[in-house]
Amino acid sequence: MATEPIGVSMYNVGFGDCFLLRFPTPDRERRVLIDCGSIKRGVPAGTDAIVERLIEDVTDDGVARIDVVVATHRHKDHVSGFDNEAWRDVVVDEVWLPWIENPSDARAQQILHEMASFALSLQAEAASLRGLSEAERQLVDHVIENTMSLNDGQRLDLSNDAAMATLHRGFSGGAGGAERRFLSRSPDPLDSKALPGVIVHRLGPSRDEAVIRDMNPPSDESFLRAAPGGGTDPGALLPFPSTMGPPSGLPSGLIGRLERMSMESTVLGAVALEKAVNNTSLMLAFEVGEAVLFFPGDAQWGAWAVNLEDERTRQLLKRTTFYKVGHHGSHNATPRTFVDEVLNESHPASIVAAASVTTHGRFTEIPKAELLRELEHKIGQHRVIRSDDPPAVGSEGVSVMSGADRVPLRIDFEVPVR
Amino acid sequence: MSYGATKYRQDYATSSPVERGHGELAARRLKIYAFDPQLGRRRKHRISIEVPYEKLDETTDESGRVRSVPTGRLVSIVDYDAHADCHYDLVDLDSPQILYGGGLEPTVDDPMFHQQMLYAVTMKVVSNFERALGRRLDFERLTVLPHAFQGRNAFFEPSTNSLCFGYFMASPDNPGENLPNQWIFTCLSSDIVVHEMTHAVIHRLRPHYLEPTNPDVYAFHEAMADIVAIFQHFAFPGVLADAIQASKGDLSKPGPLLELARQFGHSTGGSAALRSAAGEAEVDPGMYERTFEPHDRGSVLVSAVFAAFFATYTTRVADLIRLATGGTGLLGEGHLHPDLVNRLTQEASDTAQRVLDLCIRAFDYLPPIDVTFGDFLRALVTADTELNPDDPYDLRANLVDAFLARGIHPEGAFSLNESSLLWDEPAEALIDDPLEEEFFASLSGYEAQRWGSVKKKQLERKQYDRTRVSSILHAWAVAHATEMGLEPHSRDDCPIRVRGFHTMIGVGDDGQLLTEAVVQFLQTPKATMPELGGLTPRAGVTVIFSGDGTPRYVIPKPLRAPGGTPDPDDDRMRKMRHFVDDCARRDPHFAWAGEAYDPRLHMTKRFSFALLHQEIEAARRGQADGN
Ligand SMILES: [Zn+2]
Ligand SMILES: [Zn+2]
Repeated sequence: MATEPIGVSMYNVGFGDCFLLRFPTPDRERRVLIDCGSIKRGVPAGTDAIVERLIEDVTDDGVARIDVVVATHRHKDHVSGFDNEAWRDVVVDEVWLPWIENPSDARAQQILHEMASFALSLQAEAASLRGLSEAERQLVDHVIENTMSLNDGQRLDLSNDAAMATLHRGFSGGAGGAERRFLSRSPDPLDSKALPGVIVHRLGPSRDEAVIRDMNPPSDESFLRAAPGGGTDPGALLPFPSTMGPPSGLPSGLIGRLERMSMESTVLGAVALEKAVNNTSLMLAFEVGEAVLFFPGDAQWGAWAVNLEDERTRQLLKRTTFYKVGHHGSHNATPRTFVDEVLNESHPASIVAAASVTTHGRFTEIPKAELLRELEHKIGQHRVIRSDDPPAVGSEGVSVMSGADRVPLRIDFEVPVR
Repeated sequence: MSYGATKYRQDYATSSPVERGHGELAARRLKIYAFDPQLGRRRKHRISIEVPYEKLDETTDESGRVRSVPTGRLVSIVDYDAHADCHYDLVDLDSPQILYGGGLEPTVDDPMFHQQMLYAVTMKVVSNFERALGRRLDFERLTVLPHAFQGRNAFFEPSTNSLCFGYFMASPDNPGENLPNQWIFTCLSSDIVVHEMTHAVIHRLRPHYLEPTNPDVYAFHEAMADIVAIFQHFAFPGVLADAIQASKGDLSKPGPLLELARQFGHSTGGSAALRSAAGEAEVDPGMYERTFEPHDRGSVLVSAVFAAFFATYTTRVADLIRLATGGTGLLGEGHLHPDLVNRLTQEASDTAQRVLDLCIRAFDYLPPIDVTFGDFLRALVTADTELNPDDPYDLRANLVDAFLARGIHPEGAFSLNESSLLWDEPAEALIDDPLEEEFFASLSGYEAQRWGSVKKKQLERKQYDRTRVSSILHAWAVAHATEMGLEPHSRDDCPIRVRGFHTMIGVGDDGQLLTEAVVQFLQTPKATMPELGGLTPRAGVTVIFSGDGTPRYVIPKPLRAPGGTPDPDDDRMRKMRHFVDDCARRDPHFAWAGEAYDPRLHMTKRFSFALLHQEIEAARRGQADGN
């Protein structure tokens, strides 16, 4: 078994994820790309520049090659980089996607369809609502953009279709092109020729009904439409002939309250959709020797809970030596029990956590400072590496590659295997 | 008196004569959908129910004619649609055609029928509670909006004291059992109406149950709302008899009777839970522990109560079945004899009424705050022991079994036999110091005047009596604060308040009249606790006093708060903090929490009935898809 460390590169995509893993094997280095996306306009270096850099990083003798491309879930901040012609020439063996992406799985297709159509309703709903606060508006806009993404501000790109097309049909490959694999939670390690010597554990997404519940978006009917003229049909189709205006005897304050609830219902719809999509995340752990690299995507509580309650996965996670901080460091994508009771509990020789983050709009709690502090407290000072604020050059095992404007472009570090 | 009544099965299990002597009306008979319009396509599911007669508000229309509006003592129907900013004309329930004709015919097409049904069903809930409690409910008039907004939702909204019902169009691609693009009205589903109205009544009985201090509080709200809704079906004998015939007397078979809100699927897991209540599926003792979402967790309680109901009903009809089968106990193929169906129906509806009454009566034995399912079990056992000491059909034993089988263990009860599940006897020092003799005289004086027509002189007397009652109780509580688990009274830092009091009069199985007083005390420490997401830590205690002023039961929720600052290591404080954390990590808003998500509102926002019902809808659809 190889004894060289595993290389991890975190590309600074702003608000998004893009990780390249390099597993040394006797014949050659095996490469795994996990996500490539960004949601913040004005990514430090621009998403295209990142993709260009990345492809150059995997090119030997003029051939760009990645053994496995993983897309954890179809949020813009995880896949937008795949909407790029350059991928056409990249040789890829396998593409791993969550089971929800399987085109021949009717259940999966139905859930995806519901997500997309709910995003459309949400957009219509939000557009017709006056009275959302600035913060609420930003949140709803973020969710809509993250789910749908408007290409060139023109074509409506339903649920990141262009990027997903690359993942489903793009890349170059052997005779049959890249092989697509749709993964779900399983007790057995994944069998993959593309990664000899690497044990790949599938921790999510589950197919268990109780967990799938957390992947269901709300329905259009669940919006509480109570703002006069609000909703998707301002022409207000009514069931009966009516008299305009409020009747006598209507308690004061009731109209205002209902209007407010209508706003809250829209915001709840937005966060529920975001959660639903996040919970479709592929959650993987790569094990080589002593190293366990854990990538939970953006999974939230429901998907996490299964793994913390299952003794087998709990024990595995205790051995984590690299943790990709979930959902850009937001509070409920890294359960407190994971930090308090699981992470670093088996005291591996070296442990590191990487958070691909940046401050974004008004979301002052992403990343959650308290969480990052707790992580540092648990795994040690300078062991939590932020993409937007990497450690100074020269600190142990970490190197930063900066672009022309000295903005970090790529942060490299090593995960020892013994 | 009511023509048209022959066409409709009436609610005879709970009927009273429509007319009292001398032509004074005792009840209104009004038509409703027994379930909802979809099942209501069958005539037997369009029924008449009776609600106690009351005088309605009047108005004068443009032509100068005086007519009534559906606004009574407790409920006011106001038909405003906030989405379209319009309103609908109101039904005149006093018009002779309606008053003597049994009301408008059930139809989805006439908003006035919607108003009539809402009035009838909400008032039926009120009369169910009043009968079981043996006293009149008294609350600020609820505003009820049949068509408040568009959306698949309905809720009780405490801050405006209203019940809001939504309506929506059935989805064009996925209408379920409805027609595509058909209007669906939540106010026409009697289960939904009963459910929401029950929330409102619970809020009247225990207003602090809107404070989510542990995972059971909202689950209890939801469970009671469902329990009242399901048991209401047993008061529709025509419907019940059909179900008994269809299921061969085995009420545990799933059927419309046991399904809540069929058309709207309002309650998640409801029917699955009921099926397990009936022993079809294995009862999972870990379910309670694991389940978090209030409706799901509530369905564990619902299933416990139903399991006890089924067990009791089975015992009660065992002899009938033996008689009907010549001793074999095995019913053969073919229809049941109508006489047998009749008797089984009677037993079922009787048992149901008894269980429902007990669930409602148990409220008098619940703490003022922080209720748990375990508290409810102790309240049920205590209430029933007080009224029916001999428990002929083992209802009490069945309840205890069903709760324990579901992993619901009351905290603080030493063992699980019935007598140790009774609420504790008060400390010696309390028993030795009964309330002043004047107490019961003042209390009954106050209550007697509360409901009569009050003349000025009496009003003064009433105020006087009320003040006397309060100050006697307050003085007693101040003297015994520590013995009841409260901190010493301090007006500024840790005040003890009298939260409520009323008499409780009941007739036991043995015909004895019981008069007692139920009193709730509340203590709210001054210090605020920012880490509790806006929750206010409180202590509270319910005390039952017997007719001679001696305390009989003390039902405490203590909180250590020396000098008005809650002790972070106090048991209840720890549990509250833990629960708030648990909610935070499940709260999808929380990732985005910024300045806009005011920490003082976290818990209130997470536990708004409107949003709870919205969130659950997604999960429920998920389940339906999976089946
Ligand atoms: Zn995401
Ligand atoms: Zn409810």
